[in-house]
Amino acid sequence: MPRYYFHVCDGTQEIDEQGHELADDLAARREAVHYCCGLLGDDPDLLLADENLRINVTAEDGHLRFAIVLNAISVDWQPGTRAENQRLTDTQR
Amino acid sequence: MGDDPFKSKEDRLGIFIRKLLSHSRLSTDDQQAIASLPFSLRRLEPNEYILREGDLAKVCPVLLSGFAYRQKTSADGGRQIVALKIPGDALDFQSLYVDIADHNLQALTPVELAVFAQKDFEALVAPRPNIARAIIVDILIEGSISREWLLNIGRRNALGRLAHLLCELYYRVQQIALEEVGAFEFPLTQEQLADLLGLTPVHINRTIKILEKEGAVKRVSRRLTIGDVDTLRRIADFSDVYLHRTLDSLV
Repeated sequence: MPRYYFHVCDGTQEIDEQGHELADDLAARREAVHYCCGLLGDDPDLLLADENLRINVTAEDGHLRFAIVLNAISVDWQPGTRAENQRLTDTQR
Repeated sequence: MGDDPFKSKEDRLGIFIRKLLSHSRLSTDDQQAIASLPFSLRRLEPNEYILREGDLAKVCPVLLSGFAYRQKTSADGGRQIVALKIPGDALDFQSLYVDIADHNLQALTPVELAVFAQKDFEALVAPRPNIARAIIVDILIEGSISREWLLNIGRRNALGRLAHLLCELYYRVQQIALEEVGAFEFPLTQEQLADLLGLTPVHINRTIKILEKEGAVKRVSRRLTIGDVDTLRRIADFSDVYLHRTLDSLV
């Protein structure tokens, strides 16, 4: 059976070095969805902290076969004042 | 543990009697009566069935060495491991009181069983209320462990869930062992842990990595052992009250 690797990216990267043997791509996709549900059921902040959670599934050759990308959108966002925007642009420089 | 060929048959039951004494008082006479019951030795390989759902049990097997598990399977093939049995545990006291097996019982590792005839056990118990009580207490403690597992799977997160199970297994094995079992190797694969804890194998792997980083467990290739039991206990928020490890004495 082919081996698939499930990497969790939520601002930091958790690289799966062990991998898991699964029947085929479809089984790996299902596993990724179950895994994602398990992670979020355990700890919703995994998504909320960075408003983003991604699970990258790679095959043995290291190539991406599948990814789950989740985004949480906060309604608090609004355009800043001209001065705030300038400050943000400056800190990003 | 039960592998010494020079051990007499009675000596082999020592671990079973120790298990009963860990929760119940039995006189020397009661203990001798158990030790002199006739039984046959049976060895099984991992995953071999000891009892199948729907069976009418005629024997009462006791685990002398190795580990076994109870499992139930849903219609779509999902397997849930519902109990783990360790050396010294009786595997089917329930069938002394109810007829039909309601779950499957399988060897987890290579096991050695002492197989008693149910009718011999019934004859033993009838005039000996302390042994009858010890059997009921044993069944009640398994019920208590089941309740803790329900809490574990229903309400603890993956980290607490795995830590709690490993903690329980460590304390149960330590209780029955005659020596320190610090290097005790957990007998479950990641797939089996997943089927026991209701998580995916991938999630189990991630959770083991976190426990490893905390120093709570150690992993050598695919084998999992205890790192620091106090750390494991803290992560699991473990209290052993539900194991009812109350006695270690004779009357």
